[in-house]
Amino acid sequence: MKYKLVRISKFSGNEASIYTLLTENEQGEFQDSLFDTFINENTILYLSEIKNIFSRLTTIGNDTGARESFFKTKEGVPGDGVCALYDSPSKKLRLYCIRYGTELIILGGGGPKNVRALQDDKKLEAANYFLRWLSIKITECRQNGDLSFSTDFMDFEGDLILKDYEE
Amino acid sequence: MKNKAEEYNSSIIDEIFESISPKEEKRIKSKMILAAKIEDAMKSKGWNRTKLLKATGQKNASVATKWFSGTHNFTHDTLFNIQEALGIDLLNTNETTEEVVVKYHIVVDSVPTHLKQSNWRKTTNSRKSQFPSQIHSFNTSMIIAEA
Repeated sequence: MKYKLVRISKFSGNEASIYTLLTENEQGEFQDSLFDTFINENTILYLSEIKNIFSRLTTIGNDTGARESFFKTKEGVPGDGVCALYDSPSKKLRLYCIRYGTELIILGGGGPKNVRALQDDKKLEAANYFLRWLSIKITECRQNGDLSFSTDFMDFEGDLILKDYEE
Repeated sequence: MKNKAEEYNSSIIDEIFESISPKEEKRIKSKMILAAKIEDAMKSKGWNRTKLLKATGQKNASVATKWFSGTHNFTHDTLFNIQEALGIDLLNTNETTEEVVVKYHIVVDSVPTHLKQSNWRKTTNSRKSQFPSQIHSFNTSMIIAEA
């Protein structure tokens, strides 16, 4: 299966770029993004949380940058940058991301977290482990020169299609 | 030349954006900027979280994580304590006066005092050339041409 890195223009600004991935369908076309899927799955039950996430991402992109304090870090393995965006203390919706400094984040999927460990929720586990794979894949692509950061570290450049993910 | 990422948007993203009230967006932005301001002030003072918590009388170490997350709803007393500890302004209660700049175009008609005689007008034209720059005191009339 193939994925394509794209930049979400509505959130991105002078302080940070917000990316997500388009997934390839059976016809070989890239369609709905992981973030769109996250919204579609959670809008009915968690609309206020989704709106909160939208406003937070807009502020990150345009005003504050992706400060480490805004994210729950260490959601993956050491050094892979997998984290979750903090939501309101009383809320439970998790959105997993990969954070590259304060300049760039990739939005993945997520869902409501009602369990102590994410491994206890198959959906959350899948969303989280996909980003762990993605982080490793991006590191490999950067090492072999297929993918790089722009000089201001706010964008990816090169071959933006990533493949070979196996669940 | 290296490929750049495609700009992406979708109808669902647009739809959610349109449903967010400007007031709500501003409230969330304000919380995040406040958190960033406190964290920046702490770092510029060379302090770590432990030192800030000690200076503000907090005992629970996880409080700092909440403060800096940009989601915390601070109480007045907490903000006051942080403000005093870091020497920054978080609760500005002074009334602000808006500075208004009004520009006037003023035309000044000046006549040296020793020429201010009953017949000065008659002699002005002939003497003007003798006093090109000797202005000691003035008989002044002002015309405010434009406000």
